[in-house]
Amino acid sequence: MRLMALYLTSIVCGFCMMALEILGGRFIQPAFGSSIDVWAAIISVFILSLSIGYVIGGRIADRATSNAPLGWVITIAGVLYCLMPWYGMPFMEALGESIHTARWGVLLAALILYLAPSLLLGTVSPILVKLVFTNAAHVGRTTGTLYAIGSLGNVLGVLIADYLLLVYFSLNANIFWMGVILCLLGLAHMAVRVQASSSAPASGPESAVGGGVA
Amino acid sequence: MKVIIVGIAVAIAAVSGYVFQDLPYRLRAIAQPSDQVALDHRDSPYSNITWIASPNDNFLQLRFFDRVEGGACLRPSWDDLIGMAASTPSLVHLVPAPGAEPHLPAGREWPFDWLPNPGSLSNSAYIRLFPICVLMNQRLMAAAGDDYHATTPRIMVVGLGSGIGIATLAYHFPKAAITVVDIDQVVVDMVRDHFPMLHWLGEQKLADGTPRLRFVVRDARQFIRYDAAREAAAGKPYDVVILDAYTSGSTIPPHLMTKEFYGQIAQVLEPHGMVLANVIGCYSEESGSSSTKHLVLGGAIRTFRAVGLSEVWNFPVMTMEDPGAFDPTRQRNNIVIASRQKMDPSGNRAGWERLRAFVPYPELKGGQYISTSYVLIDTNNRRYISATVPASLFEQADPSLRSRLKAGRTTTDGSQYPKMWETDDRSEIAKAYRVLSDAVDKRAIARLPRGWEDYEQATVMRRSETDWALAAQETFRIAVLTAKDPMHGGEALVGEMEGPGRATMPTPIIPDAPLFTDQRPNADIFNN
Repeated sequence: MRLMALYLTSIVCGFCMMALEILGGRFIQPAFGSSIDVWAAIISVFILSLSIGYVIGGRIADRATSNAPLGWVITIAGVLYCLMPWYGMPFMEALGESIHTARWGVLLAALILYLAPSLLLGTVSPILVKLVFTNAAHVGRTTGTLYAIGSLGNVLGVLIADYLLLVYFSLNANIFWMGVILCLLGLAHMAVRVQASSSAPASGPESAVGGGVA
Repeated sequence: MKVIIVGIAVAIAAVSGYVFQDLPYRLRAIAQPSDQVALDHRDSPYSNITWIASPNDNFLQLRFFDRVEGGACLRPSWDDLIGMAASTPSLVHLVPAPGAEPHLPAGREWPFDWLPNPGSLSNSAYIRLFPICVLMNQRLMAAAGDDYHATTPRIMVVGLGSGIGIATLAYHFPKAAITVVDIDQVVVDMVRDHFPMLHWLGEQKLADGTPRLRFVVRDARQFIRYDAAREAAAGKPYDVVILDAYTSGSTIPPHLMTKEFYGQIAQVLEPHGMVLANVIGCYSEESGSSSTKHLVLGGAIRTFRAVGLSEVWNFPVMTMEDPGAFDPTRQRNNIVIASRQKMDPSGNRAGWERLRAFVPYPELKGGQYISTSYVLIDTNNRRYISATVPASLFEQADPSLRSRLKAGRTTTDGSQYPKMWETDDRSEIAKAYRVLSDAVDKRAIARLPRGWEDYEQATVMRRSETDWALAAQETFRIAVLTAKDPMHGGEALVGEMEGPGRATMPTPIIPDAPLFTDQRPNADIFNN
């Protein structure tokens, strides 16, 4: 049960992250066009924030004794998602107005819009590693499964955003409701305590790369 | 030992990856002794782009991956036009002054010893309708004393392609100031390097010093929103915005088909100006199919009407040799025009009169610029099965083939154009297929032309002689005749406007046409 809940967290966070990346392209296009620079900016910002998120998440995981910090990061990410429909488009328009000619303009826009939420979701994987860890002999299997499930969430996020969400709902509605789901998930983590295993090692396997990335 | 074996395996993989690269995209692979010659090939961030010339079949095409973009006829070439201009004053605007012929940019060499030098004729039907945008404009035509040659339109074209659309506009409107916006620098370079007329036009100035042709490498949305808006605010709005931007996947970039974008266009349009959009789509979905292409066309129309460009009319582009000439489920190019002014046949009577009287390329004589090709048709379902293949491919292999064909039926409207010969003999069709597959085996052509592998579904193989000058005139004439029907009006197609409307059709032809917005920009998703 506990393991299922942690896997579910991984899949939901992976889903929201990559769905935001797909929707994010369409968010930026009205102001910055659809040049290759736009996708370069979005992908690099998401990967960059993941890598920063892994570092920070690893530090948090080392100190964490329960899932409380997980609840916080997911909730804050959810709040950012919920706010994006309010500030996203107008902000993008204003930014486009001033720096639309510069190639780095779109990079800046992507950084400001997407760095924080995807960084927060990037911290989730290392913290989850700490929480699912029970037995040093199975550390590879545990983290492997966790990353696999997170990546599955990524895949679902990309495909469902493309095939369903974009067709049936507006960009703002999609992002807002993903934010609501993240907030609920985060609050659930705050409400239901999951203790880290007492035999957990001092530090999670930070060297594992690729978790959370499609 | 293990290292050596793995090393050899890796080397074999790498070498074969290099040697067996996908053939059509490599110059040396296409430059076989076949009709089609690749002139240049470049990779861009958006596409793989190849100029293909087909000297026997009289065309030049720009290919994006293997999708063909509007082609130019090789004859009459620009040199032909230069020759004709000596005795035809109405062509003088298209040619350089004697002694001032342009030269290749320094440091460039043509990859082959002959130089394609296209004129203004297109083998792509929708391009031939571009002149509508000026002929329907009351202000421009009135200011020019009803002589379209004398009009001074400011035209923006979004999406360059092969450039033949620009050449068409320049041919008919000597005093036009044309701005081309394309996102891809490589496309612009390719056109400048291989379409000498456009290169030359880019250096020409109108009497007031405005360039006749300006290339802008920019996302169209950004150009219109910022640069064109500034020009419009400074008293230089556009009379025409032509939307012809497609991705290499043949979809319209979604951010170029939203209410917000159309609104930005409306702001740079002169009050009498119009948008002319090339929209690939159809009027209704085929029964039982889940295709939503009709929603792309309907969505474009509804979205135009939502931003005040409420007078919308559609010209479905068809050619008379098409076996299903007006089949509403057929996916085709549509020329959608949208304006603040009346565009319907009774509201803009003078405009429609001009369309009816208009003869494109009046200087070009019929009977001179001809392509002959074979195509497979499924007459039961009124569909082309295959791509066309230059007649020379079959007739060199089988010189008596032509004599075994029967004179084909006349075209849908009874005219004798184009000339057609047919056979419904399945053994002839199979023989033709074998000629092609042999040519592929001998590597005389790079691959089987599209659709010929399905030759068993064909009921008829048709040889047609297309005269490009006549084809341009016919396409225009047929488009005007067809579109006169009220069913092609915006209201009939997508229903009444939001708010108080003037319903003339109780049930729109494309019900539930979506309104595309930046929040729901799904022109690309509906394109299947």
